[in-house]
Amino acid sequence: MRNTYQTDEAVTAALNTSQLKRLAKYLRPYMKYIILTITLMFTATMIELIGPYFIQIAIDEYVPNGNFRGILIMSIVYVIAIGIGYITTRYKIAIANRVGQLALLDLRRDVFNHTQTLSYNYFGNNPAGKIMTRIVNDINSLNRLFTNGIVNVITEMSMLVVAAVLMFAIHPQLAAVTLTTVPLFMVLIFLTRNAIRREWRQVRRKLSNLNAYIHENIAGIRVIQAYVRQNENIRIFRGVLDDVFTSWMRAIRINSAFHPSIELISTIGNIIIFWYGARLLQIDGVKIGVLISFTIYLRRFWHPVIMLSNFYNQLLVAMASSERIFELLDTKAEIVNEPEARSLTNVKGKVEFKNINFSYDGKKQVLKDINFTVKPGETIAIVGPTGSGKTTIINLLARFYDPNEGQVLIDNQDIKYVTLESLRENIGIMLQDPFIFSGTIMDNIRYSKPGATEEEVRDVAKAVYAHDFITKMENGYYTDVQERGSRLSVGQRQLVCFARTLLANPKILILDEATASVDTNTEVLLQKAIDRILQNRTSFVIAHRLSTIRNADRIMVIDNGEIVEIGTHEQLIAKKGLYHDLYNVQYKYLVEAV
Amino acid sequence: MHYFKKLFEYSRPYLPLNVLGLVIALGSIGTGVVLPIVTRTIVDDVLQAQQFDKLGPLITLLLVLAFLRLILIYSRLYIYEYTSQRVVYDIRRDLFAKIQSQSFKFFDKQRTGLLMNRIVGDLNSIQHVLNSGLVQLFESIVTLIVTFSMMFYLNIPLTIALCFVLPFLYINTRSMSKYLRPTFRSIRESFENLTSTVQENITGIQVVKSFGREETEIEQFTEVAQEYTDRHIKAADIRAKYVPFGRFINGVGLTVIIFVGGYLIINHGMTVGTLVAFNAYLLQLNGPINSLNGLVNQVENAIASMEKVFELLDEEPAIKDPEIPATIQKFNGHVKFNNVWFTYEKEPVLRNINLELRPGTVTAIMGDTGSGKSTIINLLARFYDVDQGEITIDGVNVKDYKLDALRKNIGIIMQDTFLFSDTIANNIAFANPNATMDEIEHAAKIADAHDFIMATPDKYETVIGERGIGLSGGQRQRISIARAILSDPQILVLDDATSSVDMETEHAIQQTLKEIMPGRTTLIVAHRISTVKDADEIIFLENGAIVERGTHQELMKLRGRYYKTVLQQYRDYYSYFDNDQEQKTAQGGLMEQ
Ligand SMILES: Nc1ncnc2c1ncn2[C@@H]1O[C@H](COP(=O)(O)OP(=O)(O)OP(=O)(O)O)[C@@H](O)[C@H]1O
Ligand SMILES: Nc1ncnc2c1ncn2[C@@H]1O[C@H](COP(=O)(O)OP(=O)(O)OP(=O)(O)O)[C@@H](O)[C@H]1O
Ligand SMILES: [Mg+2]
Repeated sequence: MRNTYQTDEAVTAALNTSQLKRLAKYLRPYMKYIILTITLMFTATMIELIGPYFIQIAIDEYVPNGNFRGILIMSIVYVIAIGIGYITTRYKIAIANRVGQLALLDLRRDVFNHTQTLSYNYFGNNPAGKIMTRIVNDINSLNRLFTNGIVNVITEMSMLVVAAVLMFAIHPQLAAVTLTTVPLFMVLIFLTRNAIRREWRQVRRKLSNLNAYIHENIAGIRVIQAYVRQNENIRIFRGVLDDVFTSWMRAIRINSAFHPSIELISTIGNIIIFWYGARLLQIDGVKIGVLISFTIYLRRFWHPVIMLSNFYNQLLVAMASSERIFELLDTKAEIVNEPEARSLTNVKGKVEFKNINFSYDGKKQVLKDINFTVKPGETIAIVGPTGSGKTTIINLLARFYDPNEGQVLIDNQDIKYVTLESLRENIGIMLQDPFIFSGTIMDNIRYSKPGATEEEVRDVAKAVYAHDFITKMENGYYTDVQERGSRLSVGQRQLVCFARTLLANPKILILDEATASVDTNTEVLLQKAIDRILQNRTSFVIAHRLSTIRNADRIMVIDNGEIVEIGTHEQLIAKKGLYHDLYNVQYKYLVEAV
Repeated sequence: MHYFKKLFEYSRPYLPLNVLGLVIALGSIGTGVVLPIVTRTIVDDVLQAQQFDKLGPLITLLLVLAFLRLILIYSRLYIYEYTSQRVVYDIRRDLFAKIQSQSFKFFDKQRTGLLMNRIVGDLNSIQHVLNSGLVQLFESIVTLIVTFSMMFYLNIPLTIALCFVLPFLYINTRSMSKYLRPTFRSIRESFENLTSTVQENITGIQVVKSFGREETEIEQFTEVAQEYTDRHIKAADIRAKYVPFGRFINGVGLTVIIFVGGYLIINHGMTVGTLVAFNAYLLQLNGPINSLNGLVNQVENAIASMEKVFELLDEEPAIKDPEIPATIQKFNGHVKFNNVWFTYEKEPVLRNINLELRPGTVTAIMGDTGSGKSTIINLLARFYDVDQGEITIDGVNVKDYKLDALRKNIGIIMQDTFLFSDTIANNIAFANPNATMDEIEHAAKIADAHDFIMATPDKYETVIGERGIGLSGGQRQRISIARAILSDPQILVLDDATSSVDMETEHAIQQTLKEIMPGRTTLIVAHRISTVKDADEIIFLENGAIVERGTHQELMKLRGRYYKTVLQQYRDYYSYFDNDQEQKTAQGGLMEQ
């Protein structure tokens, strides 16, 4: 199903614990540092607790006695203590952040690496803005969890244990009574857990929609302005914003209740203790000192409980993002190297399609029983009406998609069992839709062969007659052409893409309407270059302007997903089939023209 | 400061709510103060003094207070979340509108990823400050004032002695903010890099894959992600250095107090109790000191974003509606270019262009790649403004029309087809979302798109992917033609609109287009002779200047660039024919000229 900004992504939620484990996996390499942080944190806490003790001594003993020396010593000791406290806290913060950031970086890298393996289908079905959201924003929202989460949990847990142990040591019965509030926490957590997850998940979805909408609006701004759609789009945008806002406030409605509820429960816990303590005092004659110290520890007990509950809440919120991240990580790439895949070496260039059937969506059959063989070094032209399946044949050859039935063979090897890297290294495709990256022209041409010298780049640019216009630009080959090449005219973009494809010097060359937007003069010049380039290379040329296929060895005519004819120009003309008709039609228009 | 003023303006409508929030916050601070007192009373009076009869009422009080606190805190959190989200909502909406109103020149230089961050990411940090900043500030200040007044009340000389420490706290916070600001700025920048890198990678994924460049992309991504991480770590290091230092200074303050206090006790008879109380108050100061430091952090972060957000909001579009727009709503479509010059960068792209397009006529533009054909169209629809000369429609300079009115009258089929991820019907009805299904189908039929649309699984309701993924190149072009036809423009512009369409289909489209052309002004940019030959005037462009103009017949006689093009295209076809008869006819056709 194709996703747009209007459709919420369906997230198939994984199990909680397994998600946590996966997240924890990213922290594992930094265990050493995490332990160090915890140690630092403990030290800092100790100092915080002990520090005032020195002051206490000074005030209680030395001041009343007028012992300045004592005061001085205690002050110095105190300053040293807080000095150490400062240093430990400083490094605790620094290290905890470093760990969190580095773990995030690892996660981000994994996610990005994974997206690079996903098949073209995934990108076709998901808006770019949404994929971006997962790689960038969703991961960012794990920041807090990663930097402070685990360290805090461990320290708070230990505080909790210490406080609980002390309480049990002082008065087990009272301590047990304190624990009666635990079910209250359970109820609260149980009641809110699903709602919190559900609402935050919704928030992440709506944010993703927002990103998708904004992305498409910026990408398509020229069309939007040309058709004066701004007001309508602002209206739609507000709808998208409303969704974000509403979902956010719904999540907040539950979320905001969490923290104060925990506080309320802790007060209830106190009340129980007071009530029960009073009874103990009256009936069992418990000493008052015991009760007092108990209430002091009680406070120490509640603090970590509150912190842990908040952490739990934070975790639930983070879950809404992490499930999206993991879902992306778990998306199976459809086109992968088979386990027994071998690399394609020493390519001669024989290409064979055997009984190929293909459909993009499982509904509409796009290629039907395609069979053909191309000899090494042969140039095949693919012609046919628009939408007949020409580009699709190329998509299968480059293995952007796998056929539903049949095999594609190169040098008698099924390309399914060839490594993708070696396959695409040997195939050079000039895509129908010329895509230019931001950066210089030099970078763009060199994209297909990063090690190419400037000389090589110039040579291919000359071969496709792009050199002239390139050198005329402000900075020649180093002119920044901006995103999608907006600095260039469409024909110029096509020429740059052409140069890029040629630079790769592939064994099998595919030109999908390589010169559709190029003027006739350049095209004629180019044609000579192309003829030279195509020599000794297996090549596929798709073109509507039949001039481009003049020198093809054979012509394959596709109609409605089927090969209707295949043969040399002369054979096909003699056959008086579809090709002949196509030709006559063109000829007719030409004659009309002339 | 300017930015804060702007932010304040956006917050103004929610000011009453904000004030209410503050009052509630004050209430919750109050309960926070009273609750421990009640607890202490229970411990002191009930438990210690064994007055158990007081227990009931006190516990009830405690419970009531706790509930009250729950409600107050909840409302405060909700109110602030609400108002801050509202403000962000308003800014987002304005930003979006602002970006949409920018001219092409703006987008030529902007990166999509960066603009996305402006609308989404940058506002999040602003929202944080709006959300908790005010309350935090308020809480801290209240605590500071209360604590200080208590200290003054207890002992003036001691408090004055303490004041010597305060400047250090100030300096500490100042230095932190000084170092944080550029760091947050650099974080923001590298975040933009990160987004842009991901954005470009995803949109260009097919190129990445077809050249097997995944590794390079991963390297590049890792580089920017690493940089982003490093800068975050740097900011954390700064925070780590300064935030805990506040506490340290406070501790030093404490020792100063002990010293001075000790002196006062010994020589001036101050009570020890006062010193103990002072000690307690000073420890209490740690809270507000911490939260002020945190606030500085948030504010610095927000400032880094605010600069960019408001800068963008302040940026006036280069191309705007005129002060006093011309009143004409429906054009006749009489277009004139008078001595038009235009430059994108340095070199003039159009040189002294003179054109006249009359209603009911077809004008065709041919020319070399990059000669300026699309630029002429860009100027006509005022996507850019001319450098010299003028363009008029129906005698009025295009600059004097309202942009909407101008562009609604011009239907452009752009060379670079862009479709939206939406249903086919909605794509065709892009210019007029209220169009009926009949109108949509009619437009599709003219563009020869109806048949293939009907063959898709959901027909007109088929959802296509971004940029038209799911359709073949020629199919996309036809949808975009249908889109222009449905907009029913007086001036129809086709920029190489059928380059990916086979000749037969192109011919069919041309024939049907002829039906709707009468009365309209048509401008066609094309490379195929068959597309342009019937035009009333054909313009041949070379390096931004018109080198030839006239009808097909006239240009053939001229034996110039046009003639050469005909020859080239003709030869292509000519050479294919084995059939002597056909060859002769073809040759004959040419010779006649
Ligand atoms: N990603 C896709 N998902 C679903 N259907 C698709 C997809 N890409 C193409 N199609 C459909 O498959 C058919 C063949 O498309 P293809 O791009 O191969 O045509 P083509 O012969 O190259 O046409 P053109 O000359 O217009 O480029 C078309 O009907 C098209 O709508
Ligand atoms: N946005 C831009 N910024 C700077 N220069 C530009 C921009 N757009 C186009 N140019 C340059 O202006 C010249 C004319 O471009 P234009 O797009 O008008 O050419 P064109 O005649 O339409 O070519 P094509 O047939 O390739 O579409 C080209 O040299 C191009 O590099
Ligand atoms: Mg152009």
